[in-house]
Amino acid sequence: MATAGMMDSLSDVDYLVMRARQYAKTDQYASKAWLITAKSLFPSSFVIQFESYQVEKASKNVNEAAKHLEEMFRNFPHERQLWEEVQGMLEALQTDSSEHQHTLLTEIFAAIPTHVQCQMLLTVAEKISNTLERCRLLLLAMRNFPSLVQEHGLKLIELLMNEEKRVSSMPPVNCYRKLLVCDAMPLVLGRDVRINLTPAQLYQWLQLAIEFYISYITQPASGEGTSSGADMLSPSKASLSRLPPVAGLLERENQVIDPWGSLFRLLVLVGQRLGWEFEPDIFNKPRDTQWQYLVSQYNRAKQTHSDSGLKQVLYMAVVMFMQSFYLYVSHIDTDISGTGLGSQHIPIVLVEGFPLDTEEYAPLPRAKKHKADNSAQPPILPSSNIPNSQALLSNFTMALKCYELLNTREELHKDFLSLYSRWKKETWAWISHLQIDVALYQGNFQEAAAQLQNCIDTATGRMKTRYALQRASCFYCLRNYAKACELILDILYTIPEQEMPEFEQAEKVATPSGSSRHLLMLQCTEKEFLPYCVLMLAACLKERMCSDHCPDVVLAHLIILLQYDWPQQEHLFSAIIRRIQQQGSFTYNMFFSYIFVVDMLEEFAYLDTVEGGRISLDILPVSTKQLAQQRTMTRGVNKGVKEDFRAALEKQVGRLQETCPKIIRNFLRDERTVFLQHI
Amino acid sequence: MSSVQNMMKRLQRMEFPESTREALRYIVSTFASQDGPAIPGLNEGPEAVVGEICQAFVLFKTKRGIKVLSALHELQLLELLCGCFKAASEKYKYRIFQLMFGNRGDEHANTLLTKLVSMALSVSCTSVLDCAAIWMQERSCHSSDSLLLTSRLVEDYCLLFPDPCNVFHRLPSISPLFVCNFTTAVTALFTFNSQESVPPFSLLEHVTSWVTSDCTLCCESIRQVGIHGTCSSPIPGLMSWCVLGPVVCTHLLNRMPPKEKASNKGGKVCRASLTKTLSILSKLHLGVLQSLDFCRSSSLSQCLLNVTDAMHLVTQLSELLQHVRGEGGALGVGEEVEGVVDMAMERLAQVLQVAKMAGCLMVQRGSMSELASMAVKHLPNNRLLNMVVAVPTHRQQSLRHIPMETS
Repeated sequence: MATAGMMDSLSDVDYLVMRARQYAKTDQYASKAWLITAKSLFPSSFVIQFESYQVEKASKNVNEAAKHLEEMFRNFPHERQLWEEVQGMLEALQTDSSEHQHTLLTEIFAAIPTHVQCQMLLTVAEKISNTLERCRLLLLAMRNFPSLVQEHGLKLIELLMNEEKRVSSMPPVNCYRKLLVCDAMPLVLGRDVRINLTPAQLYQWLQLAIEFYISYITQPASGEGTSSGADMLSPSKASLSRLPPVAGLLERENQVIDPWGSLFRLLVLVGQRLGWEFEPDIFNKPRDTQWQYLVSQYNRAKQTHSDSGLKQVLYMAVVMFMQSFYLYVSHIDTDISGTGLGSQHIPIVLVEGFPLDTEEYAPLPRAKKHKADNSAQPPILPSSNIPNSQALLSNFTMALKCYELLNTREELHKDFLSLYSRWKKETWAWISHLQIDVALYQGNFQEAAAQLQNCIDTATGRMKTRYALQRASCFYCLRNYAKACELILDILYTIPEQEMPEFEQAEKVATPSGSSRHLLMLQCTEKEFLPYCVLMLAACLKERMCSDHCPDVVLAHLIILLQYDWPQQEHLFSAIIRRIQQQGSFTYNMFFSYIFVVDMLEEFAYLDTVEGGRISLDILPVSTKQLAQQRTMTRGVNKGVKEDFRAALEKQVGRLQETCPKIIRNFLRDERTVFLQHI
Repeated sequence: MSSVQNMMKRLQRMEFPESTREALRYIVSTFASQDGPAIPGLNEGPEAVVGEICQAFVLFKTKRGIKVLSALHELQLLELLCGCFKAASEKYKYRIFQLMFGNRGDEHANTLLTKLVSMALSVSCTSVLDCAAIWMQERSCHSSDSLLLTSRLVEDYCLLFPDPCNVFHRLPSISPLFVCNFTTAVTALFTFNSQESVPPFSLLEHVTSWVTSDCTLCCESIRQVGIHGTCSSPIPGLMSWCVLGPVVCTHLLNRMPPKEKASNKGGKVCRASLTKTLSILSKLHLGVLQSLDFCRSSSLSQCLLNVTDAMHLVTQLSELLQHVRGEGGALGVGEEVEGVVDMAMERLAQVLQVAKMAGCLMVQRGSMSELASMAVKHLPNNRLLNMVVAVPTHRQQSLRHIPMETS
């Protein structure tokens, strides 16, 4: 309690407030009586009215407090303390907190007549210097009072756009853009809002929205999300929790639920303003339907020379391209995607398939021929281990078709390029896969190899293997066999010895008939890519075999490799035997180190016979020539040699139990230099 | 023979209660048929026509004297009357009431009225209560008739059954006008300026609950001023309660032997109820201020309080102070007394200030300065009272919307 002396020094207003406060604890009625008197004496004193409000608030008289607040708002619209109070109220309104103080504030606000609430929101929003806060309040106001959108909607949009511009070098995912795209735009574009918007404005909004959503969806995942159990229960929820928050936003504002769906809905809203025609629910239809719709829209727009129609095709194709390609990429590059596929997920790799030989051993059909002819799309054969491979494929082809549509049609190409160049794609690492996989698919191996060169240095783990496989595939197609084989050998070198998988018959995918080009879609696991590597090496050797001067060592290496998936390429083995028969001789002293398949050993035994052509075989670890030289002085020396050869063959059959992959691996490791020398 | 005489003859042949029922029907129908302004000198009003019937069959007064009804018959009569007023039109309801109870000094009629109002309270008969309220304000709520009626009702409803009583609780919704005038009357009945005039606690509770629950109740009578030409204001009386009450209660508390908690003087005044009275007076005071403050929005509130009421209160307060100080000093509780005296003056100042700003204070020329000099002369110095009485009314009002300098 203040002393009388202290009281005397107070001004009348302060004295009255002080008296009211003295009673606040002991006698609520007296306290209020003092305040009523004080207000009557000094009607223009804000301090007294605010005190009255505080007293009512403290005693939880919601209606009385609301009345005071309303009156103060009318009489003292410029008092900072008042805005702060209202602002606190609005903050409470935006949080779902059940905290007592918040509930009280919300209740007081609710007790104020609606039109005053609305005015309060707007007035306070105008007073606030922090633009973000201001935008939040405007949003809150418009959400609660939809009639405000008409007048203030556009203002808010401009405010957000200008603020983003003002703060330089903002990434596309920023707090202003989030509020703009996810919150403000849907309100302003709402059905009941009659705001005139020019097409130029709408196209600009659309660009900002697409850039935001794509950047948002594709930003790298932040840390480990929820447990895998939760992932399985609710994929959408899990992906949500993985997406990193937008800087500057409150937690509740950070929930962009179903970003793709939101983007599609916004596209439809903008489209309706632009007079576009939509097939209902087109974004949830199968890819084929979507594609047919795009094509028909394109054809119609072209026939009617409709600029708006072409714009529609442009934007829809861009969005569908982005979505389908991103869904594809999220399976091939698990480091990048934020889609909730964990890092334990196995990347998928797209590589060139080998035209499986029939009886003919013509050199590879040249890729260049295909390059010129885009209409004949090579098929992609997915490994049966890839879950949901059909969806993956349809996403890839959808992306490819959209991309081609956007790039090859004159009417769309220019706009697409300018749109594409306007977006800040620095963060879109995933888009680099586009050039690689599309180039690979279209047979532009030079380009693909160049792109891969850029990516491979920074990649690690499976992604590095993945790039290396694709690069090898490119070099093979570019007939740079040495480089291809070197890459493959490097890959194999990284596989731990115990993990060398057996060749599995079942894994073999059905290859198309004839020698037409096709691609393989493999899981980036040893089990899947090892057979591919061996096939690649064999294919390179086979090319070498077809050239003019083919040393015996090449034939030997090829035979060694053919053992891996024996008897898949039996006819190739037969061709080699025929070649040896033609030459009449065969020298390879490492023969018994690496060749163990009984069928092959028998074939060599047969070559040694009269029926086989009595081929001169120098395949013992110690050269028969040298032996012959040692035994020149001895009679019957040849007989001994013969016996050595037979014995070695028989002994080799006994070695059969050693695992094939291990022998192949040893061969590739120990004979790497020789192997590469002869490619 | 006129129709009235025929009617008299017919009624005289009838038994009670049919006779009275028929008489009331006839009275109502006569008022109904002669509805409209009477032209003086040309035709007599219905009052003149049915007066005799009313005297004979309602009040049971004849040339030979007053017929005393049995308790049962009296109850039947009261029921018939309630029913009659309920059915009668608003236009002439009070004229019928006047016909029966309008005669001043008619003790028999007043006694019947008291019983009728008590009955009307218990059966929530709005019509009778409204009429009784107008009856009270027409002969002034401070008149002996009104005070007699009031004290009977307080006895019936506050003293006989001091427990919270539903009848009074719901009264504002049944007849706000009656609440207003009844309140005025009880403040006159219990002036609260001495030990003898402390209002019963349950009455204080009811009044407080009425005033605080509805800010418009105090203005109910003022609203009728255009219709009946008379009005009452409970504000001066309530102000006296709030100002004098704490001084009286504190004084009584101090006088009680500290240890003795038992009631003295027949349980009328006890320590606990005095303490409760102090706290409820604070609530009542706030209710009064809120009621006055509420009047800012209405235009006909000039009569709620007069500066002369305040002057009268100042006189009462100073007399009370002299008395209390004399005894308080002797009891050695001077400081406590000074505290409650400050509170009393501050309450007076608060009521004056709020009434003034709300436009409810009737200020005669020069009366404000007269009040100021009275306060200076008779009361201790008080900052709030100085602030309130020193600033002339016209200046205060002109300053309503511009910032005020504080000295």
